[in-house]
Amino acid sequence: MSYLVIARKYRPKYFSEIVGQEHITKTLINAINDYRVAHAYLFSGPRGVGKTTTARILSKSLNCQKGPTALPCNTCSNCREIDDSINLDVLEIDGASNRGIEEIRTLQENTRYAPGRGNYKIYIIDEVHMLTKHAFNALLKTLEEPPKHVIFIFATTEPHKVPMTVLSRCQRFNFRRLTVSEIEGKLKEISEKEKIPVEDLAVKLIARQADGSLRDGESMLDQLFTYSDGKITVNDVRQMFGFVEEEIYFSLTDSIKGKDEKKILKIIDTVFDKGYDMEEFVSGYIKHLRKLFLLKNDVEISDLSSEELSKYIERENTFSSFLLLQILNRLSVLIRKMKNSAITRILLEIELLTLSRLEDTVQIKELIQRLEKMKEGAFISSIQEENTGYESNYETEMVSEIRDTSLETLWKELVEKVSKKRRPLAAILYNFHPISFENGLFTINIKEPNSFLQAQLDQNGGRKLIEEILASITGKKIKVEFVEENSGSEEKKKTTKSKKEALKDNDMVKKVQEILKAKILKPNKA
Amino acid sequence: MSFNEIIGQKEVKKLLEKSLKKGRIASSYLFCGPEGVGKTITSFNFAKAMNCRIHKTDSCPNDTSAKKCPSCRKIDLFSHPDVKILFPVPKKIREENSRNELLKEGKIHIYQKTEVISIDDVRDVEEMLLMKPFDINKRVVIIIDAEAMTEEAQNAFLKVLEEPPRDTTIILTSSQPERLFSTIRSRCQKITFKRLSREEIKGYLLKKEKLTDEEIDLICLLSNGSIKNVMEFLDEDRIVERELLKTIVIKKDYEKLSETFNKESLEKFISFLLPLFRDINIVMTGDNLLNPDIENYVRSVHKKYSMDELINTVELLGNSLINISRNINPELISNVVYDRLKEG
Repeated sequence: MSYLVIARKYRPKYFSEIVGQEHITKTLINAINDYRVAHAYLFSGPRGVGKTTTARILSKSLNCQKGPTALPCNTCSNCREIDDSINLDVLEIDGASNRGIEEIRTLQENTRYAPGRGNYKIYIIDEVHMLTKHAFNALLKTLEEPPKHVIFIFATTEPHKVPMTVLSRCQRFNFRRLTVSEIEGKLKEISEKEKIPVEDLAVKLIARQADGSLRDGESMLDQLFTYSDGKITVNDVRQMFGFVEEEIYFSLTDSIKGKDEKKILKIIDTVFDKGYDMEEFVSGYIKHLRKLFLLKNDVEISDLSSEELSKYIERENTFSSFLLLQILNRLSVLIRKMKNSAITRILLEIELLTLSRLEDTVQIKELIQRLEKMKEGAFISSIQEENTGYESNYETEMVSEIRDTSLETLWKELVEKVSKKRRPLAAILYNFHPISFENGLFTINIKEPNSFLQAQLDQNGGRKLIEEILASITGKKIKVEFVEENSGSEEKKKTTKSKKEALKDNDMVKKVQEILKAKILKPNKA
Repeated sequence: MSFNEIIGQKEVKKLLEKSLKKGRIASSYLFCGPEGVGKTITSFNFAKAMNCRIHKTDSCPNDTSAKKCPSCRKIDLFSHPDVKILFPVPKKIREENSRNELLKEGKIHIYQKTEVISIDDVRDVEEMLLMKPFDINKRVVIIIDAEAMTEEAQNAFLKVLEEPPRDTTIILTSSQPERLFSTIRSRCQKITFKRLSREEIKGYLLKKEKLTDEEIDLICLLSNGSIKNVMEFLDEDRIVERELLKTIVIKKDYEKLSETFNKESLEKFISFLLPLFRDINIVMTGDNLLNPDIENYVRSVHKKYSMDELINTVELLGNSLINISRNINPELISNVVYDRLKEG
């Protein structure tokens, strides 16, 4: 008998052997015992957690010569044939290769014939998400009311690609990812059966790297069995798979924190030289940071050794939660970029260097706070008080800057208050613009001389009211003056014109014009 | 060629030899690692070693004086009926014969970036695996640059990959394994190839070519641990071309380039610029430059760029490369690039 990989050799033969999917196996066992087996099942879940295996055991259970039983005998000819996938009544179809409507039609034709030896005719369609749209639709009628002897079992890693109409006709089972300890247990069991001793920590390392998929873990273990003579050690695992050691991640975290750019580049260099998968490296680092984040927020992580845990706790306060989230966010964007780029290394280097400088950038929240402070500067006096500590030169600059902003806010406040007291006056003010506010003189621009407006302001005591309100806002006595000005609009025209000319002179634009034979119509505002 | 004749990759060779010795040959492998470090040649060799009639854990050496077993000879000529080799080629020449032509000429990777491995190719393999093997112990399917498989092809491959017929081994090689489905990756034993060290490349060059020591050192540095790059630099034209690009960049004589608007020259130019900008980025900290021969220039330019500008430029260049492959008017792309360079 030729050599079989572990994943195939130790493929479970009973429901009880399937690891970690009790919610599914229990339901199925009960269904078989109570003769309540549905005519269509959909198994979905990540890779390597037991979808195909469950489908096979279910079909053995139903077609075993010892009648539908939750414990298939695995010795009768039906069971053995199903194991070798040569049974005539259990058809295992590769949905990805046979995905057209033609194949589905043939399948439909065949459903009419009764099973040969078993009780049921069972169609297992693996990778069902790859069927074409038309194939799915052709299947709908049969799937809703198949002949009595037919059972469909679909297995897929991507249930969202299966149309709703198909989903609703099936009993759906979601297989879950396996936990590290579940994989660990199974791997230990295998190593005992194979009589090859494996260090506990080595098993743990593999189980963690398997990322919830038993098959991944099993094929790694298989490779180790081949590689090592005698006992398998942690070192073997590291050497074999080039797992990026946690140590590297720790030192990367430290050097990002310490802004040690040389060290960062050196780390990338070693990672690259050792031939690590760049994407794996980044996603590993994301996992590492996530652990930091969890610990920071007092969430316990179960699968860490105490030694590792203390290392994480040591670095718990390296980054603030906000920064950590930002880094995580950037890294996940990076992974997506790396997927369709030929320059992964350069991207990675740049990103990590940027990360090391991320701390220097100001948070938006902080910026808003600063802005808010400036707004408060409408009360010039208070700002001036605050600023007394600064150099005199700087101070005056500061104040004049604030005045500009304060003029607008002051104006707004003024109009608001006026509108509360006398609406018509406020309506007039809307048409005006404030120009300056200096030495207790508030100058307002009246765009066009208009005797009616002017009269409104002067006669009904409008000016007085405005002056009163201004005084109440600033706490000073202020005189109001109205000035006529209408040069503003002309200026505007000029700028658009010169913009157009500037565009004409631009080399880039010229080239584009040449290539596309285009003309400048209107300069964009931006 | 025996395993000893492959440069570097000690770990990989050790693993493969052990699995041959113990008879634990997995049904599917994924060889991954950077370009030009020996994935393809190792996969051929592994196929030969599995079937070699003379050696148990190795294949017959390439030495002309030694006797070669018929199976190794057939695989060397790519005429073995039980060893199927797939790699991305344009649709026109997807039949067996023209593939073999390319194999014999050693032009396996020329369509790596542009063409795909289609679902039909995979179906061919499936069909072949349905038959009984001709004469051999082990049937081998080698898929080179497996990331070139289309989505449909990868899906169609899943079932075979999980449970190939008895005595069949499938080997995938890929320099970008992250582009393969996780479901494909999880079905294979993953074997990682590393970049070659400078000593290993030096050793190779010393044996093979008549070069001065300086040239050898320069090529070692530029090659970045990949024999593929070494080969490219051994080609005289490449060095001349590089000199040309160098002078263009240093003298800012971009006009000269903008006269040639074809795709290839633009692509070469950008792939020269990218590592250059990377160097500009890291020069203040690192000493591992990719372009050590123009270090002075890099140092002088470095001050002119801020981090943000560098990032933007690199992004722009990266996108331009993608755009070129998407068949966008090279003239427009080049104008955008030149414009950016002029600003700098």
